Amino acid sequence: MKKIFALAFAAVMFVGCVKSPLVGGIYTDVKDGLAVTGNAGSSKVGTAEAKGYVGIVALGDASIQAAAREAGITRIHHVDYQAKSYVGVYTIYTIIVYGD
Amino acid sequence: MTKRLLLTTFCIAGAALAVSAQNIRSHYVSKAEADGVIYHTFPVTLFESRETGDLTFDITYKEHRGGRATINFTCRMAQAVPADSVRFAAGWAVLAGPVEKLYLEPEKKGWKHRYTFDADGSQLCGFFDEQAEPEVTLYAGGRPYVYRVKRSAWRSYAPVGYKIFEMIYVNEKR
Repeated sequence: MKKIFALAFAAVMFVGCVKSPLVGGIYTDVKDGLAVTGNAGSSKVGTAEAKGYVGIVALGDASIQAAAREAGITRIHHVDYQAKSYVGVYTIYTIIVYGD
Repeated sequence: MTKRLLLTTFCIAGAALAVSAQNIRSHYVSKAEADGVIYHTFPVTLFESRETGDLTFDITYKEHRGGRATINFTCRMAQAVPADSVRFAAGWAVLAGPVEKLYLEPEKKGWKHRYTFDADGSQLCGFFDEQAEPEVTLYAGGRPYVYRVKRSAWRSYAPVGYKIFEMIYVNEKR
């Protein structure tokens, strides 16, 4: 019985891992580039995020469209993202859009 | 065994959260560009109104733009009446001006409003005063809607906000 619980827990922790090129088992806080366009200049920044809880529930709209809309960006310069995870229990995925 | 594993996991997660909360790097992003560094603080929910709900805001500051900062905020209201202006006040620091609507969208209860406005960036260090009792007043349809601060959230975030804008001013003067 205990083995089943331990396996289930390990599975949940694995599912709870955040999307990132590098993942820390205990703590992850990684920023990375996602896209670059040919548009010049950026005076606005917009963010959008999705959150995951215990690898069971994940909610949010972390699309580039949502982040651009939050700041009124119509010409995107580049897009970064930030991934955070606390032991796979609480994960946050944030899209950061720069543009005008 | 399972209980101990769960407890240890949550303790580690809690400790990691507490450590990152005190670190200002997790609260903003910056990007160096040809015409100056652009800084952006991640959205925070520090204000609430019993009548309408929470107010979440973020700040974008770009160097060499005459010290102007852009404050974007999201709030919820019962009506779809766009706001005219806003006033963020904390002690002597006042950030106020006419707002520009980004979008309005219906939700289960009421409407989600998103606005942006330009403010005097030099007031931002003064605004993030931990001891102040800040409030936000939004003017929509000819009447004011007051959002009062969440005390505990303010106490933990105000020093972070102060440090971020102190760092920005120091770097811009260089």
